[in-house]
Amino acid sequence: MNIRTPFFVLLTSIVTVLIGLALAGLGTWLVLLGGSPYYLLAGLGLLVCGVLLGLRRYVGAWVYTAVLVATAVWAVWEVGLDGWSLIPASLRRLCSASGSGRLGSPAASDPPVAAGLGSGQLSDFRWP
Amino acid sequence: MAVIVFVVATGYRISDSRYLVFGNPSGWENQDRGSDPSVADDAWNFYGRTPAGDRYSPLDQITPSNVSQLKQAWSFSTGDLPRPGENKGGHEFSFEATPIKVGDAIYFCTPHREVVALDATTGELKWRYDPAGDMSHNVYQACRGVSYFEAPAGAPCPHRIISTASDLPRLFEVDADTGKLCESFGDHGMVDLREHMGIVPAGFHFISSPPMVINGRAILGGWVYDNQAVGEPSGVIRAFDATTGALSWSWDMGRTPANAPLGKDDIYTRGTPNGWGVYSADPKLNLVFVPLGNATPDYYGAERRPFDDAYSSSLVALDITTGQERWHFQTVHHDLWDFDVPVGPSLVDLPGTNGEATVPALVQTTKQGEIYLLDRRDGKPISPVEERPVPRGDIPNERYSKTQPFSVGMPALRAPKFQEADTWGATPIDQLVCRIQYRQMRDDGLYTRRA
Repeated sequence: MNIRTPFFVLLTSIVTVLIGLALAGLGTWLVLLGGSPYYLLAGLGLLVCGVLLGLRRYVGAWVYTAVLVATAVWAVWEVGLDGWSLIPASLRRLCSASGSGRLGSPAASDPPVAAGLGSGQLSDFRWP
Repeated sequence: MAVIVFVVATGYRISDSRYLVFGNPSGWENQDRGSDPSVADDAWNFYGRTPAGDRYSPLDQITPSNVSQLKQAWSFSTGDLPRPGENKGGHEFSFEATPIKVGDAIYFCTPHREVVALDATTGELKWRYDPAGDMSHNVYQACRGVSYFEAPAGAPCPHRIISTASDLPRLFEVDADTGKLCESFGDHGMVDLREHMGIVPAGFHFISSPPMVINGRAILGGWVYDNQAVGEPSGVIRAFDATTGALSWSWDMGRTPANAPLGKDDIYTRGTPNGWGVYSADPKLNLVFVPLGNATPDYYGAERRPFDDAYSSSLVALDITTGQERWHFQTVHHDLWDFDVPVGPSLVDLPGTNGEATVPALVQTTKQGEIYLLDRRDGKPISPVEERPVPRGDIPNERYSKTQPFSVGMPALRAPKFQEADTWGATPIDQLVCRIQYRQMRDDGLYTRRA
C-alpha cells in the first residue's frame, strides 16, 4: 500500500475492504446453504475496489460503479420496485457512495458514482 | 442518480399498497337484519356491542369522509401503571379493555382489575371499584372488559357490572350506578371461582375476558398459565345465575355428561382445553359459542386424552340454560402449534335457499388464518371445509394428525410463503445474516412440524 495515499482515500479503502470481506465471507456461507450468490459476488467486487483504491488506482471507483449498477439491477430483478425491500441494497450504495464522494479526485475523471451521488440521497428516500 | 430516485419513488408508491390484498369474495352476503333491538343504537353493551359479536355501530354521523375532522372531546387516565417487575422478564402488563357503553356511562377494567365508570359525554369519573388483592404472582396483568346485567324487576342492584379479580379467580358484581358491591350476589358480591377446581397454584388461573352475560346467566372460562405442567387447572366452562351468583351449570369435557353436577368433593377435570377468549351468543337459539384453546402444554400432545383431542381448538355451542352441548367444530386436529381459537364467532344471517327465510350462520376467525362459515344451529360448514394432508413429524411418542381442515370456500388471512427475498435488514449485512438464518430453517407451510 502506498504510504502517500491520502487519508480519506485510505480510510475508504480499508472500510471497503472490510465490508467486502464480510459480504464475501458470509456470502460464501449463504451460497453453501443454497442462497443467493449476489453477496459473494458483490463482496468480491468491493474487495477488488478497496484494494485498488488503496493502491491509488482510481479505476477502483469504476469497479465500485460496476458493483453499484449490478446491485441496482439485481435488487430490482429480485424484489421488483418495492420501496421497503429495496432499502438494504440501496442503503449500501448510498452510504458507500457518499464515502467515495470524498475521494477528492479531479472532477473530470470522476466515475459517475463519485460525481453524482452526494449525501442528499438518503433524504430523498421517504420511509413508507 | 435519476434512475435510483425513480426506483425509490416508484417503490414507495408500490409499497404503500403492498399489504392490501383483496381476496376472492366469499360470494356470501349478510342479510341486513337491522340493528339488534336488545341493544340501543347508541349503546355498546357487549364486547362486540351485541351478543352476536357484530363489532359494528348503526350510528351514522361519523362517516369515512368526516372521520378525519374528529377532534378529541376528552381523555381520562386510569393511573393504573405497571408495578416493579410487571413488564419485564417475560411478564406482561397490558391495557386490553374494550369499554362498554350503557346509557350515558362507559365501563371498563384496568390491568389490575379496577372497574372504572365514566360519564360518556364529559369523561368525568363516576366511580371506580378496586377488588384489590395481591396480583404479584401473575405473569400477565390484563383485563379485556366488563359485562353489563340488568337484574329482574324487584331485585336489588337493578343495574350491574360484572367482572372478575385476578389475585384469585373471583367473580363479582357491582352496582352500575354507585360502584358498590351488589351484596345479594354470591358472598357479599363475590363468588370464589376456585370451588371444585382442586389445587390452583398462585398465578396459574384467572379470568381475562368479560363473562358472557345472556339470558340471566354469566358464562365464563379462564386463562391458565400455559406450558408449566400437565394437569393444570381445568378448562371447565361455568355459568352462574347473574342475579344470585349461584352456579347454574358447568361444562367439563372430561365428565359424562359434561354438564353433570359435581359431588361435594369432586374436582373439574384438570388440564382440559380452556375457553379464555370472549364468547358470542345467540339468545334466540339459546346458545353460547365458546372458542376453546388447546390442552397445555401447547406444543407437545403425547399426554393428551381422547376428550382433549376431541375439543382442542374447537368452537363449542352450549345451551345457555343447561350447559348441554349442541355441537362442536374442530379447527385444528391435535393442535401442536397453539392455534387455539382466540375469540368467539361473529353471527350473520345468510340469504336462505329453497324458500328458507334466512340461514343463521356464524363466521369464525382463527389464528391460522382460516375463516370458517358454519350453520350456527348445528355447526355444519356452509362454505366447504376440506381435510387436506399435512406434514407429520417424528418426535417420540407424539401423535400427528394426517390431515387438517381447510376452509377452501372462504378467503384465508395468510401471507404468501416466505421467500429468501422477503428478508430485510437496515443494511445489506443485516439482510445477509437474515438470509443465512432463513436458509438454515425449515418451512413446511402452515403446519410446519416441530423438530
